[in-house]
Amino acid sequence: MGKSSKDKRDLYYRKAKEQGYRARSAFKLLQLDEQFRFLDNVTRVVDLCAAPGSWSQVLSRRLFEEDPENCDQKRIVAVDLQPMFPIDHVTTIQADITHPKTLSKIMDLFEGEKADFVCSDGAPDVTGLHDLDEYVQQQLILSALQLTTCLLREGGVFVAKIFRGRDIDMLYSQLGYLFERVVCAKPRSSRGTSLESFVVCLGYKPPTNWEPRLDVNMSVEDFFRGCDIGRLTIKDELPAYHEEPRSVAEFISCGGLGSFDSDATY
Amino acid sequence: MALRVEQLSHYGPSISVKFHGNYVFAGYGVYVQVYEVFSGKLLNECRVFQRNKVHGLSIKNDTVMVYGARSVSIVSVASLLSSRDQLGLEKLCPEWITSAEFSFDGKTVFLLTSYNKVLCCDLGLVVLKTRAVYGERSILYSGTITVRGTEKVQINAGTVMDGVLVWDLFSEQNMHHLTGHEGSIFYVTASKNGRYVASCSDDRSIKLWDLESGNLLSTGWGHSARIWNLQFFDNDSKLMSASEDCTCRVWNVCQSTCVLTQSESYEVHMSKSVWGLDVDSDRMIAVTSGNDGRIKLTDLKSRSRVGDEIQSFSLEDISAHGMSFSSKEIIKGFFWLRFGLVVITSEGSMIKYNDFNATWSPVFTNHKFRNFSVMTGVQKLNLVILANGVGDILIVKFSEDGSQILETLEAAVPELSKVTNCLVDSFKDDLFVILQSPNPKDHLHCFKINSRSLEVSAMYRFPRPHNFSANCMAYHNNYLLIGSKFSSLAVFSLTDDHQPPHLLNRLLPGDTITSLTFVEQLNDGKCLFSVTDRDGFYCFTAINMETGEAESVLQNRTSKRFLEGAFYDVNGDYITYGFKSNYFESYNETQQFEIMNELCGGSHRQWIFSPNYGSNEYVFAYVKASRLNIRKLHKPTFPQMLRNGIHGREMRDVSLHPGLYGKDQRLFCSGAEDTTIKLNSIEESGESRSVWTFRKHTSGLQRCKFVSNEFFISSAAREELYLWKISTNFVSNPYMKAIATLPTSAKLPDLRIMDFDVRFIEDSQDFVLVTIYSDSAIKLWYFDHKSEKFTLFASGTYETCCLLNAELLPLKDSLLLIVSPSDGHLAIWDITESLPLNVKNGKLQDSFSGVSTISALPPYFTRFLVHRAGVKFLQVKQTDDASCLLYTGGDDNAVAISELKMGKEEHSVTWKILSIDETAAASTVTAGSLIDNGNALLTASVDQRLKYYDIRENRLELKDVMYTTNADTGCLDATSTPDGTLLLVGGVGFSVWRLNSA
Ligand SMILES: C[S@@+](CC[C@H](N)C(=O)[O-])C[C@H]1O[C@@H](n2cnc3c(N)ncnc32)[C@H](O)[C@@H]1O
Repeated sequence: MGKSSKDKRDLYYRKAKEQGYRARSAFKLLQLDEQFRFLDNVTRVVDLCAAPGSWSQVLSRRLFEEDPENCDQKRIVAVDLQPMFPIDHVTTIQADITHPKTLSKIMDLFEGEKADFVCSDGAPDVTGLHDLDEYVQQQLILSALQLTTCLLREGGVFVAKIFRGRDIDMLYSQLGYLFERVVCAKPRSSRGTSLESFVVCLGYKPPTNWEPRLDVNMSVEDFFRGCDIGRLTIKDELPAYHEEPRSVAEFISCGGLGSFDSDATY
Repeated sequence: MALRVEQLSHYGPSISVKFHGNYVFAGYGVYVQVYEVFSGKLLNECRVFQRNKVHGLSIKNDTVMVYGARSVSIVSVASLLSSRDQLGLEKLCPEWITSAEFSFDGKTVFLLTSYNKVLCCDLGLVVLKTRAVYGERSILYSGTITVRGTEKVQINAGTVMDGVLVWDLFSEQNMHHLTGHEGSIFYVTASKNGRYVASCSDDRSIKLWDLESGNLLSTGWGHSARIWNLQFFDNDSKLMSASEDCTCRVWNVCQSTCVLTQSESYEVHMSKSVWGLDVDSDRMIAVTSGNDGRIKLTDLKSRSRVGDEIQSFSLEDISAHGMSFSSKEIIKGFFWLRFGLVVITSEGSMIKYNDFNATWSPVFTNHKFRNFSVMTGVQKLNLVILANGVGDILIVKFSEDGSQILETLEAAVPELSKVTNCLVDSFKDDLFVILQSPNPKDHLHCFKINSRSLEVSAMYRFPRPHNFSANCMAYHNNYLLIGSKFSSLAVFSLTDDHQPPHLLNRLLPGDTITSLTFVEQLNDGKCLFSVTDRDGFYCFTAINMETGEAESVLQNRTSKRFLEGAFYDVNGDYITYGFKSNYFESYNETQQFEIMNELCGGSHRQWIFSPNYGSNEYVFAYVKASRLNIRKLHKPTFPQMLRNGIHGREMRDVSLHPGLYGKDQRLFCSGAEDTTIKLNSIEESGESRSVWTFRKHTSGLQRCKFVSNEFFISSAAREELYLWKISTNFVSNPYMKAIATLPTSAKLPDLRIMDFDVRFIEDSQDFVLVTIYSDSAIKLWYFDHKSEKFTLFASGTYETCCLLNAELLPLKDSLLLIVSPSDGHLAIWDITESLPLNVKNGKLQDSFSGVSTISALPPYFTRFLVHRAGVKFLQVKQTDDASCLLYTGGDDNAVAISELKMGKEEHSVTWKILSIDETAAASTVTAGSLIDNGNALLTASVDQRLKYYDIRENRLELKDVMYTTNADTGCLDATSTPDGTLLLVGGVGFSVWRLNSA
């Protein structure tokens, strides 16, 4: 998503500059963590759709600088379509996360170990076709989720950027199958006037009746075939139109009422 | 209470269009609309999908495959032409369908999904086989299927990072991996002849590839924004592109060098994005559709369709018709009459061109009109007027076919030593000719001439006002209205030419007044004129010719154009014309589309734009490089528009005028992200039409509402707020004008006025206005309608958040201000003390006599938390003189009813939440309105749902949920009508509903 000139005057933009973050987005992750404390005690994390890298910076500071112990156990992998300037302690990959090959590359870097935390701040090119934009956004989340099911430890946390559009309740419902608790959280640093929010999925519970299996020839939808969240049926006939399950996630505004609201003009 | 819901009409993005014989099939939201090309008639609208928008259409024989998002349906042409819906046929694919085509024999279909996989299905949509290239399964933004034969099907897939993949369906092998574009590929297609692949991407270029070798042949640059669609046409010799920059362009594909060169550019849509595109190569018509909901036809042969659209002559060409010209002789003036063109040369030769038999012939030569001369005329009367620099005039009246001269008149004004301008107008049998000298002390001389006999019946000498240089004129009922080069207008009376004229100064922001056109006469005798200026502004002014009193009822600015004139055409559309850099351009201002443009070199050329005999036919003639060019605009052989949309970008607010317009129409205003405000009319059927598009704001609209029958207020970023006055008493149209604005603090360039509210002073047109800002500021203003000025009398702030909604509420003897900030609270102020007037029994009283100091707003006396994030809408219903109910909806997906009660002691209030629905929506609740006498609440949310709550028991009792196809659903307004509730919903597009709680 392009930065408009508005961002330049934004309070969070200035704050990011002061604190050495590459983007104001850093505060979104910080405010989410303030609310959910999901970064306490994590050692291995994946940051998807990470460029220019401010989330990775937050993670690097948290995991390595603030707690310099057991560094050899710790790992941060960051992926984006765009190239990223190096960040200390972060392994970066330039790739498309919807490509199954990318996911296997990330898996390789973990050498069979599980991750504690997967996040994705991904936002596709906005075309202006709202339904397509929403679909592609949800596909980014599903791709991230695909990696999550292969890599996240039981009880781990998954956080992803969402745009609360027409079909967001379908996504909540799908995520509900895989996590203990699914919350829609809006950090104060995210504009109230934008539809951006974050889905915070706590307590990963891998499905018992389904074995995730990454295959470079399978799309995300193929991957989730057989899992409860999958839309694919084995039947050959395209099904008639039907409503798919929807549910509304709990809403939490985070960052505290005292913190600045990014819609405000100062 | 059963609710009957009916969607009357809707306007919104149309993503795909397709020609089929004499029809155009258009995907329009969940519908397919079928238009007949030549009549432009909408033959049928058939609903094909429950919720998904139609993104594409593919037609084979008499079958149509419709697809969009994950939905697909195979329907017959006949049923699309006649049935209301075909919902039973809708099937769901597990993935987004990027493209769909019939097989060569039409017995099977191919569905290309967003994960680069093709489902091969039978016509019952049973999957026979799936095909994909091993390992190439990343997401696609675009793709097309080229069916070349039973065994030959090529897939063109556009990825987000890896360029274009071209693969063979049956062998499941990659043919090419075309890399070179930057960013996501937004469209890719192959030519029918099998030679080319064309693609476009985020990088704004078009690339042409050789299908055989996979080599890049050419890159086309030109679009100023992303490109969404590409079509080869005219036997693959041309390529058409459609873009986010609102244009579509034609590119020639050179058959030998394979180079792409742009040949035409058409500005076809408003504000943002053309999506759908198809070309009928036989008829050479393009159809486009876009984000603005418009479906537009464009003539790709606009310069050659009839054959005589463009003609060009030099004097040498003309001499071949048996005339001789001297070597230095040039064309000095020309005028278009009923038979063709009359020309005057620098040697005083008058020649004429008969347009019916394409011949030139001499009229006469008069040496008095050598060198300097001006030619003008009156087409209706078939006469031309020549004036020279020393005050001679010559009028020549022709027979209908131009073969004979019926009358001539030679006259002179000896008092004028020099003449630089000659203006003319006619009315019934009278012709008025004005001569002006360069000496500002000289009078303006006016002949009144009988147009039949060409006898001078009167002569007037008007005193010329200071700083006045006549540039255009109009006669009406014994008055002459003259527009000057210095932005003033003078009304001269013919009954007494000694009287100084009534002067109207600074009518428009620009300098030179370029045209004056009489529009209508009102019952009170005032006359309405349309006035244009060269800087691109136009206005409508009602003038009392006797007293010179005038009121502008509309003023507007065109986009980037110099205006030379404007008029209402036979359909009642307002047509403007003028220059845009080197182009002459004529534009339909009502419907917002370009009628024609001509690269003529600019406004300093000699030119005329005139009607061409019949209705809606025009001629533009100009001299360029010593050639006389005649461009004709025939009445189009097909409609220029199949459907007009509304705004090009998201509608931010909508407001219905409280009264009726005419017998059964209503007016409403809409404000959008595209920075325009539209004044629209709506019929009982729900069909609506934009009347005016105002370009007053410079940033996206935030709020707009009618605050009375007469006043409308709009607000936006940069602290912009305008008070508009609407006039509905004219026959020609409703008119609206911004009459007042607020002074800005200019502290922050981006400061937005998020909302406002108004309370009128009892029995007065004056009112109190509160404005709230994105930096937490609150300001209170008094509007004095006599001086049309706002005075700031109090200001203050809330905490540090953006404020979203404001409501002024008089309770007993105090005035409360309720504000909803983005922190989820409702904050209450008692602003009675800050008011420079009194509040009694819930009414604002007394007149205002000015303020000496701006008082500081006290801090809010209470606030309470209702929502967990910004409160997006706030509606207030007073229940008695000490309490009210507050209806709110928020970014936290919730809708709530709270009660507020004033206690006996000062500033003691109690409040409680009576009812809250925490999961009222899956996304932000953006708008709400009390309807049905306050018995029901209607809400709109970004998840595209409208909810109807029964609130009679002060509980939110959900009665009905409606689904709207307008994404980014952000505003609504409703009013009671004899048939129930009329509801307007805006977002990306807009829809009209009727609700009946019978
Ligand atoms: C809002 S930015 C992320 C900002 C980042 N969290 C930070 O704090 O600096 C969104 C990113 O998503 C990336 N993206 C979009 N689609 C992607 C895809 N298919 N694969 C990988 N990255 C993608 C974009 O390139 C973009 O850099």
